Amino acid sequence: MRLQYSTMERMTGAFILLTLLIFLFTVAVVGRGKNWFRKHVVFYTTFEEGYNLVSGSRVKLLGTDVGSVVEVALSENNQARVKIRVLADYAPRIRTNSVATVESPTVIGSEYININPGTTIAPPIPPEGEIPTKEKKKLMEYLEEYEVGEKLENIGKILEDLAQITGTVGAGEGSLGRLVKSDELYQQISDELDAIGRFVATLQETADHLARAGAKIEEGSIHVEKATREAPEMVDKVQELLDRLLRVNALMEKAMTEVPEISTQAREGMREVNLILESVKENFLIRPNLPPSPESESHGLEIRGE
Amino acid sequence: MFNDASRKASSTGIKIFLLGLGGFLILLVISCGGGRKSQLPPRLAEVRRLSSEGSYWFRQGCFTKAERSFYRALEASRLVDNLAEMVRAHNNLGAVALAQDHFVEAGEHLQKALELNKLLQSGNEESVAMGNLGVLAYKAERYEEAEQLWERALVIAEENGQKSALATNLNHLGMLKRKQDRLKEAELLLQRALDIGERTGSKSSLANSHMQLGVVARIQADFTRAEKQLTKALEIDKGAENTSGIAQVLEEIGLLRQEQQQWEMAYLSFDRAINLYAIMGKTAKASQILEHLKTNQDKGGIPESLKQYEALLVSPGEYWESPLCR
Repeated sequence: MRLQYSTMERMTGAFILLTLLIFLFTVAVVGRGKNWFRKHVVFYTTFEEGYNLVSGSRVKLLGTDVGSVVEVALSENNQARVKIRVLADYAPRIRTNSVATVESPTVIGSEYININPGTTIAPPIPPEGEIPTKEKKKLMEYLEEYEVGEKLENIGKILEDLAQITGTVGAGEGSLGRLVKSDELYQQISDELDAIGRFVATLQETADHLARAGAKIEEGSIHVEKATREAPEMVDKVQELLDRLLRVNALMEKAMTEVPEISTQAREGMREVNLILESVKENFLIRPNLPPSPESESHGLEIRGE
Repeated sequence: MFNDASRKASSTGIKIFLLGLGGFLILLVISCGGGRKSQLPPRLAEVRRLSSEGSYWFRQGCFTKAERSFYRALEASRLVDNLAEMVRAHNNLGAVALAQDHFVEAGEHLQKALELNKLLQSGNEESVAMGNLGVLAYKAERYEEAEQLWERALVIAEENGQKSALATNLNHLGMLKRKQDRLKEAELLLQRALDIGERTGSKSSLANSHMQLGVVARIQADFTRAEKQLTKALEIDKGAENTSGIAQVLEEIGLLRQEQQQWEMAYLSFDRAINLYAIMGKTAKASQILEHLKTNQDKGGIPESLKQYEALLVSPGEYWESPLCR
C-alpha cells in the first residue's frame, strides 16, 4: 500500500528538511572557518604553572596560529599539564628540540603558547608526545636579569658616601671641613699673617715677639702638614666615587641597549592591532560600510590671468 | 468540515514554509551579502592613496606637499610599471611645477606624460597635458602657442566627453581672447564655459567664468554687469574656500571700484587681496596689488600710508610654507 501524505505533512517535512539543510550549511561554514574538519595531532606540554591558559587558548608556531589548547590540568607533582592540538600539516615541524613557551600579548588578547620549531636535525615529536618547555619569566626575574636591585644598591651607596662626605665637611671635620668651618683656624692664619707682617715691618721686635711668632708659625705648619697628609686620602675617595659613577654609567648603557627590544615589542603590538583592524574590516557587516578606496585623478591647472 | 480543517492546516503550513524560506534567504544574504570587495593589490592601492593625498594638497594650494605625494606616487607606480598611474603622476607633477612657476620642470613632466600616453592612448590624459602645456606657453608669454594648445586640448576633451576639461580650456581661451581685446569672442567662449560649469557643478571653473565675464564687462564699461559677475564669482570662491580665487576676484573688484572712482571701496578690496597674497607667499601678486594701492593713494588719497603693505613684500625663504598648509 502506498502511503498518502497530506499537504500539511508535506509542508512540515519540507520545513524540517530546510531547517536541517540550514543547520548543515551553518555548521559547514563555521566549521570551515574554525578548522573543525581538518586533521589535528595532539601533543602535551608541562609548565610550572597554568599562566591563565584555558581550553581554546591559541597555539602558535613562529607566531602563526596552528592549533589550540584542548585541556589544562594539574599533574600529581603540581605542574600544569597542557594538552594541545596542532594542525596535522604543521605537526612534523615540531621537533624534539622545539621549545614551547607561554607568551602574553603586548596590548590585547589572552595568553597563548608559542612554539619555536627547532632545527631539522632533531627528529619530529610523535603524536601525543611531550614538547619541551621554557617557563615564562616573571616580573621579579626580569628585575633580577636587569640587575635593577644591584643598580639601585650602587646608587644608594654613592648617595650614602656623598652624604658622609658632606656631613664630614659640614661638621667641620678633616682638613677641608676645618678650612670651611673653623673660625679658629681662620683666626690663627690671620694672626700669623699679622705676625709675619709685623715681623717684616719691624725687624726690631723683641726676641719674645720672635719666639711667639715662631711658635705660631710652627703651629700653623702643623695644620698645613696635617692637611697635606689627608690630601691623598681625599683623592682616593674622589677616585672611588668616580669609579662608582663609571660603573653606574656602564649599567645605564646596558639598560639603554634594551630600549630597542622594548620598541620592537611595541611595534609588534601595533602590528597585532593592525591585524585585528584588518579582521574587523573583513566582517560582513562592516565591509559594505567601509569608505571606497581612493581614486587617482589628473589635474589641469586652471589660471585666471596674471 | 474536514476539508476546511485540512485547508486551514495547509495554509498554516504554507505560511510556515514561507517564513522558513524567508529566514533562509536572510541568512544567505547575510553570509554572502557583504561579498568580498575586489581589493586592489597593495602597491597599486598605495599609489592611489598617495595620488589622492597629492590631489588633496593640490586643491588646498599646498604645492610643496602635493609635489611630495605625487613624486611618491610616481615612484610607486614605476615599481609596478602601471602606465596609467605614471602618466597621471607626470601630469600632476607638471601641474604642481606650473603652479610654482617651475617652468622647465613642468615642461619635462608634461612632455613625459605625453610620451608615455602614446602607449596608453588616453584622451583624458592627453587633454590634461595639452591644457597644462598651454598654461606653460601662456605663462611664458607665447600666446599663439598657448592658443593652439588649448584649442587642441578643447577638441580632445570634446571628443572624450570631458566636460570639466572642456570648461577649463574654454575659460583659458576666453581669458586669452579678452587679453587680446577680442571681447566678443571671449564672451562667447566664457558663456559656453559658464553653461558647462553650471551643468557639471565645478565651482572653480564656474567662479573663473564669472570672474572673466566680469572683467570683460568692466573693460566694456558695463559696471553693473561687471559687479554682478564678480560678486557671483566671489560668492562661489568663498563657498569653495578657494583662497587664491578669492584674492583674484577681490583684486578685480578693486579695479572695478577704481574705475567707478569709489576709492575707499577699492582700497578695502585691495587691502583684503594683498593680505591674502601675503599669506599664500605670492610676493609678485602682492607687489601688483601694491601698485594698485599706490594708484588709489595718488588719485583717491586712500590709504594714507603704504608702509604696512611694503612690509608684506618680503620674499619667502626656501623652506617657507603657507599657514594654510601647516
